[in-house]
Amino acid sequence: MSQHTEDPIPRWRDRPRGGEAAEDRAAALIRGALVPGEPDELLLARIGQRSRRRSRSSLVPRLAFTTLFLVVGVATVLAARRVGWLDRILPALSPAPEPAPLRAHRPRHPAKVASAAPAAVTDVTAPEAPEANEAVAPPPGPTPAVPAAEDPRPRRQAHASRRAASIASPEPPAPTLSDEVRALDQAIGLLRRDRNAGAALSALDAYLAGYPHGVLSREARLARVDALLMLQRLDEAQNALETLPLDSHRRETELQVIRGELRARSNCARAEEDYSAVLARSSDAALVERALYGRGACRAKRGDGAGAAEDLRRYLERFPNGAHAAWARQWLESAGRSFTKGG
Amino acid sequence: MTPPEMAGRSAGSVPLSFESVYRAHAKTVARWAMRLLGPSTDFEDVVQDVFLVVRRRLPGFRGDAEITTWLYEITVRVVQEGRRRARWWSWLTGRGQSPSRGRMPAIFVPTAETPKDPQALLEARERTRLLYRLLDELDEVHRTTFILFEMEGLSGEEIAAITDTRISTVWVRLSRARRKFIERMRALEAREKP
Repeated sequence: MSQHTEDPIPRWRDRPRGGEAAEDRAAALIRGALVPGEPDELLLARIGQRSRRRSRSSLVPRLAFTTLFLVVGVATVLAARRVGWLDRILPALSPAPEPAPLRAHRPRHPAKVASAAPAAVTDVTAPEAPEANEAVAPPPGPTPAVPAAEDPRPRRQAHASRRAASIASPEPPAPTLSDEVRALDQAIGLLRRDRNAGAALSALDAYLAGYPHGVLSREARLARVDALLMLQRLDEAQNALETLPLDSHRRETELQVIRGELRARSNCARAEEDYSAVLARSSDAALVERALYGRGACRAKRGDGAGAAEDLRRYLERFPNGAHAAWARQWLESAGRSFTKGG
Repeated sequence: MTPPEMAGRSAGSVPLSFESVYRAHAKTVARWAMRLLGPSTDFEDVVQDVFLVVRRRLPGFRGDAEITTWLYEITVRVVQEGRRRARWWSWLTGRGQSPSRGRMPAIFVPTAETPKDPQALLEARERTRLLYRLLDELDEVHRTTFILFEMEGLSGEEIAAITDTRISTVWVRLSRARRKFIERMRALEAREKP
């Protein structure tokens, strides 16, 4: 290759000698270093001889490395299975059950709500209006659950039922974690993929009967709550939730909102505890909206007009187009007027 | 099937054989390898690896570039890969040294400017070690660019062709390499000051 000196950047080694700058010292270092000499013919002949052979020298290490990696990989998987590590991570890898599609009902017209029978479970537990505010429509209680429409196609139902039956009447379960995971996975699949809450409930009950103290029983019980909510069996869902410890669960806050909504049907004081706890720690807008509205409604029902007005005002400030905004405005304009600032 | 020895073509469409390429360029490739590696005894392996690649790729060589540019490109890649592998292996095993800190091969010789007395030769050896020690602290691409420009005297265009990059990138790399080289040199001088 030719050597050029027409580059826009001069080389350090071309700098004048004797300078004290760092570049001059670097140039002196480069100029004064040894340079490669001519390799002798014998050495080159030896290298050439090796190069003419097939590329054994590169093929052998590659094969050795590939074999080594395969052996190490297989050994790792086997070891992981042996110590149960795979079983522990399987639940984390399988799709987590999504939260039940809980939504609060849109508030009805206050006048209609006032005349509606509040006791009907499926009809939402509209907290009754405080006596002092008889003229105002009572705030509609939050609806705990709106089940997703189940797939009506018979083939799919039949398939799901077969799967449920197979889970519901299992052979004596071997006490292995992988069997347990598989059984729960099937049950949750019925709930999440097939949207077949009935079959899922059967499967979950079967699972819980088979593994009452299984390591995944808490997940199963929570999935069971979801199934009950989808089936609109709200009392049972509430009972199930009341007996479940929610703390430290990834859905803790959401479940607390659901429990508050279920409690609000009959016991607004306890519902308020849940809502307040959620409002104190959650920043999830959807959950905050439900909790804020629920607490406001409960406070209105319990006669705490000032508290209700404050919650509903906060609700409107944060969610002016929220699902309950119209009702909150109406309540504040009528019953809540006396509690508003300067009102 | 066409044997690789007959498949390559030079820029003038004259068929190139592996033997002819080896005979004509083995010495040059060995010198490049030594220059790029520094005082290391690994250059034999590098030359062998370069010609293994040449043997494999010669059938596809169509003479779009000069054979020397093509060989230089292969040498640079083989050296860079070898150094990375050596560094990885050294890290993995926790022993060994940086590739250019091994025994000084006798094939490194003084330049015409170097005085011929033993003391001067010793100093030149130390200077060579120091130079490559500083170069070892540069990134691989910066190190290569620095060596090709400052020590081999290649032009920016040639370096761009060898390293398969744009000429502007060569200048950027050179500038960074120089800056880092000076920083390391100053740090070393500061450490060695009594």
